Amino acid sequence: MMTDHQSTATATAVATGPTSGSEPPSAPRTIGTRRRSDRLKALLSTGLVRIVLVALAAVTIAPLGFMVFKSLTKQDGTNALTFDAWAAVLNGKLPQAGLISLQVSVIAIIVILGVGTLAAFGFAKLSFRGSQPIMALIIVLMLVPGQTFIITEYFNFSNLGLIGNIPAVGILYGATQIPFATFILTNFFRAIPDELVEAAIIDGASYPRAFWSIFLPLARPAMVTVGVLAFIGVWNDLLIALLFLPTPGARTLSVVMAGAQDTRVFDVSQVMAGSLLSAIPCIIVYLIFQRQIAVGLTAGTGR
Amino acid sequence: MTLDLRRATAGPSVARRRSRADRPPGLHRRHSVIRQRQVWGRVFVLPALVLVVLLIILPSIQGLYYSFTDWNGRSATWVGLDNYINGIFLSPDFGRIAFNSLCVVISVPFGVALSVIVANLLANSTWGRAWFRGIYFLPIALSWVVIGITFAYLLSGRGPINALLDVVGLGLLSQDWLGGETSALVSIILVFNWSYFGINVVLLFTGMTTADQSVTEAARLDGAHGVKMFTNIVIPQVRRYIELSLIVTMAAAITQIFALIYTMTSGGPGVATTTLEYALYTRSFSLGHFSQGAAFGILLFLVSLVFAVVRLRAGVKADDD
Repeated sequence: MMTDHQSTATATAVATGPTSGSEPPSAPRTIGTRRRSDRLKALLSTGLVRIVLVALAAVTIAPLGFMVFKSLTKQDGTNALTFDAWAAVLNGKLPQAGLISLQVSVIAIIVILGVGTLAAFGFAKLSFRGSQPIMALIIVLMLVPGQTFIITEYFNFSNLGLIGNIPAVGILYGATQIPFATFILTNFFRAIPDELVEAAIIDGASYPRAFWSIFLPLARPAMVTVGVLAFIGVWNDLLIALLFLPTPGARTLSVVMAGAQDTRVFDVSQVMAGSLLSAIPCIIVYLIFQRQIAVGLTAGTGR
Repeated sequence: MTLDLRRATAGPSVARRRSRADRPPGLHRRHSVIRQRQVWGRVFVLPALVLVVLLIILPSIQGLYYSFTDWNGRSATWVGLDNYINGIFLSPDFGRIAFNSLCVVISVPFGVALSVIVANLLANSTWGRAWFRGIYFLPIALSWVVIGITFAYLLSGRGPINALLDVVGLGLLSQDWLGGETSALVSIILVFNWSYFGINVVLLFTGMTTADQSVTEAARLDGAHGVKMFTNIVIPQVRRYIELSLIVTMAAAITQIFALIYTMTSGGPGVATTTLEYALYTRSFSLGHFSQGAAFGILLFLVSLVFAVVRLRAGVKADDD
């Protein structure tokens, strides 16, 4: 808001020319002391900044806008509005794939939040002997990229007959994110005062009880942040889904889209509609939880 | 159980309390609380530990072992460093693959530099700030698959980018961007940085707006503004955030670019856009050289370890001054 006032003040000052000594009372003090050329410069630079910001916003949003446009127009050169592509996509394989994506994501989130919250509570509030080496192990595991174990994991799953098994793959997704989630949650939980849990214990509550009724309600914001990041990560992942869920009935949205993306083979409008459809849940989650996502990113590594 | 018994008598403070003549009931309770905490702490951590051991540590160790063997998924014979030496470093396309990974990583500081500048502009201008932030941050919700599909079409021979070039009279430049070796690599690099641009802007913007405003204000009163303010005050203030941006984006360039390459170029033409990460996939699942893939996996781990050490070093240095 400050800059807004400042720039309008500058604009009026320039317009009124020599009488600019009489500033509107709301204008910041510094403006009155500046010379006129400075004001012009300030106006120019403000304008330039705005142009840059708008241009970059356009570059960021353009591909998305283009997808919307392509998915809603005829590809015969007329660009007439049509919902054919969306109808085709919604009647095709994508809704089923979306359901698979949803199942996998939900299972992963339950695993991450259930197991991760418990562990983070243990690390942050129940400083037991051996907790530090285990925490160090968790931090080291954050550095292990999925690629390091994906191939052997694939054969382990294959030997157990778990390729194409949605709950098992959901748990795998959960496990891959447990180190990161536990680390972030532990950091968040350290900020919650120890006294709250301790008081409950002194009053005779058991630790599980104190965790469930005292601690969990306080932990909700941190859990929302971790849960949202986990959802975006799992929903958007390709590699694990591609390898572990290759069976036709168990393909996730990412896998189906990645397999049907070649616009030389497939209809452009349908590819764009499908892409949008697969992105919509994440965009909705993003619009609702923008702040929590930013918090999670600042708290550590993410995505 | 044995562990618990030992602990009950081990702690000196506990022993001292015990030696007092009459134990008040409160102290007795505290003692049992401490023991309970030891037990429950382990119980709470156990499920996470089990999952992580079974699904991360065990297969990672298996991967390390198989990277020293000739392995087809069933039987393995020990071959020492053969996968690393002949399979990776001396393979004919390794030079290009390492070069591609390096190019993506080296491009990151430039992308982050742009993010720092834009974050600073955004921090100094409240005009439509929430809107810009929302728009810049949006690509975080888009998957690599969606980004890859869209840009593959935008950059294709008959795609809109070539059409645009024709319109503005630069038709000479129009080409199948993902068909040429150099243009494909450049395209991947630009799209990768595009998708991280806004995320870094928001991260750095958060750093700038949560930094100590009194420092900035004092500098302003001393006459600092413009570029000087930016380089001498703002950048040192958000150095931690810049480091975080760099390290997160570089790590992603090494370990999270698979889906983008898969949807945009499939690593081609030839191996022109194959990175270390993508090579792991092609070696294993296209060519069936699973032990070479496992070796690539270990290599990727070592690279991320280097990043972590650099980050740790940077953190230590920051603490020194």
